[in-house]
Amino acid sequence: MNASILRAENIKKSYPVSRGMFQKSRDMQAVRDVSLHLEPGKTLGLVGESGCGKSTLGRVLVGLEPASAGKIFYKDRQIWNGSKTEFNLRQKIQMIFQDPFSSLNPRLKIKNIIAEGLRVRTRKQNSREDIDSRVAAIMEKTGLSPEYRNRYPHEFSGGQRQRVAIARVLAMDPEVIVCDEPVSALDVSIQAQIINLLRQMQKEMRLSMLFISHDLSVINNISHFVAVMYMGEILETGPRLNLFSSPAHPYTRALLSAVPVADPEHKSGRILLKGEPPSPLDPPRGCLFHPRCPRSADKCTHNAPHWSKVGDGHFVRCFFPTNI
Amino acid sequence: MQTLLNIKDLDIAFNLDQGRVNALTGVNLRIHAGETVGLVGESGCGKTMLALSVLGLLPRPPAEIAGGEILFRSGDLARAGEEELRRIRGNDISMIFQDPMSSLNPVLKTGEQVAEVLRLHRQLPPGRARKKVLELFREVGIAEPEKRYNFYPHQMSGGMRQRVGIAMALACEPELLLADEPTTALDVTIQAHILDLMRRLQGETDTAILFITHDLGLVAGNCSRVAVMYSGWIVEEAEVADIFSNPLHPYTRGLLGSLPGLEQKENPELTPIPGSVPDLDKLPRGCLFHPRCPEKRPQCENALPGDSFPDSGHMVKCWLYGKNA
Repeated sequence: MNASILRAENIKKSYPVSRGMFQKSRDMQAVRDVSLHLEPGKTLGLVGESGCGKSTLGRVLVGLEPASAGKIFYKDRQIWNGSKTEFNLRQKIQMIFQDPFSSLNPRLKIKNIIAEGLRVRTRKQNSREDIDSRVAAIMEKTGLSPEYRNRYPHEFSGGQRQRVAIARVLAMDPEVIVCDEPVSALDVSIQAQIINLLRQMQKEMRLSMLFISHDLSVINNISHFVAVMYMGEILETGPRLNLFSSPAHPYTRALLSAVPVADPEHKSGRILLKGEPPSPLDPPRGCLFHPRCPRSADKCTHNAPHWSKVGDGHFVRCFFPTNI
Repeated sequence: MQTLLNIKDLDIAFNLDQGRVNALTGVNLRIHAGETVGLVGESGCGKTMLALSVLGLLPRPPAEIAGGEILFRSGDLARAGEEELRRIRGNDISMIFQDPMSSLNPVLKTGEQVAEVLRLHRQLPPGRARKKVLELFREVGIAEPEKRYNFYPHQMSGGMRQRVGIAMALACEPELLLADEPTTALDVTIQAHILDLMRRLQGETDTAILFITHDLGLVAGNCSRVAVMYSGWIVEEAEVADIFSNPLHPYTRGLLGSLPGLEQKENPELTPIPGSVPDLDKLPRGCLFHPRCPEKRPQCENALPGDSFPDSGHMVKCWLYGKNA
């Protein structure tokens, strides 16, 4: 295993859900026992359907929400546990959000959106000219003409706004970026521009990325490793090529088979899952996936499966993984 | 094959404070009985406008049908009165909307909403309407229909609500179904169910479908013909197999090059289209796509190209293919 830059161990995150005045509130487990690690210069794609907890996990990793349990390490140092050094860490671990319409302050000019972090980081020691030239350089790099520096976010299209969000993040010289569905709000032609930009930035700056998406095609394009999440748990993880060419978990197989392929000759062989994901307030016993699983057996309804290895770095949480 | 809907040279304009903008320009589209036609394009290209104009649901004013015809059966829907449109809507032509959150009435029980369609168009008495709704619910895969009949939309998941939308759209066995991004708000596994359902029901009733989507993958798997739209303009129209094997318009090629697929290769590099879609009030002169086009020629900046190969079944609007304007 390569040295990891960010490592999460047994992360849990739950939210109290009120059930009215006279009943005790219950805990809704958004993330249950997730461990993962990010390598420098590589992308881990985190894929799952809406409500599976992937965004919550991302927010916990960048320290926007405290974990209910578990530990997070940055280069072998435990972080987000309340120690004083975290101020510097926030610069190194950055986040890009899904909606470029609500993630930029509408009352700030683009140059100030990008420079804001820069000023904080340098503790205001840089001269104004210094900051301006840095902002111009970063804008150029992210495909924004520096002429636009005095405009406001509403004057930009969705794709350009997402470039501003990327520029803002890059200004902090980060090592880890958590991208939470950064292209889902964009049109296909723009989506491809942003994916290419992220890949190019990663190559130039050796960025480590956690790329959260519900779109398997996008994940396939950008990731080196992939983790599949369902109801707050990771069900399968491995190198992209292994996982996509020989998916072992029935859920991964169903997801892959449901992706519409832009080829009329393609035989879909669609695996239709039963029903819908159960409520996270009332999770099933045993394997979380068993009520919808085509392979579910008696065993699955009583016990939760542990990890088993199905290939090089390829692990799956299933009693009956597809043999490779 | 019998032509069911024939849209001819349709122009739709919006009269806004900043002036008049053209939302649709010279749109031609035919839909035959029982077939599924895909309409693809990016947000703001006018796909939804086209569907709304067929049903007479455009917000008028500011919208206005500035020219052209929408021929359905023997009448022209572009000039039909409200009375006539109301008879057709939900009965002969119905629509499934993108957002199952906002397309259902939040204060009416879902069953009642579907029953309303049957009472209005089929004059069914309440008891028989209810029975028919339960049947429809069962058909679209809503478990325990008696219980769900009394559910309000907020008590259902997105996938369930879209099934209610489909049940409502199909209640009167329409001849034409306008499906406006029916699965965009849904997860892939639920999307697979809904597409399956639509295909099965189409097989049973021989309904024609106009399938509006931004996802070329969905077109490949579900449509027989496809029209590609850009800035209110149909730039290419062909059989599905032709579009994917032999895309003619640079925009279509750009869309295909932008698609991340599931190929098992190292580093599948994407080739995006540069720039972004122009605002409708700042449309360029000449070909609407030329500012982003990698194959731009001098004449592209001056004049709109006409239809090339209009009778071959693979129409394209581009100066690359002759200057028959």
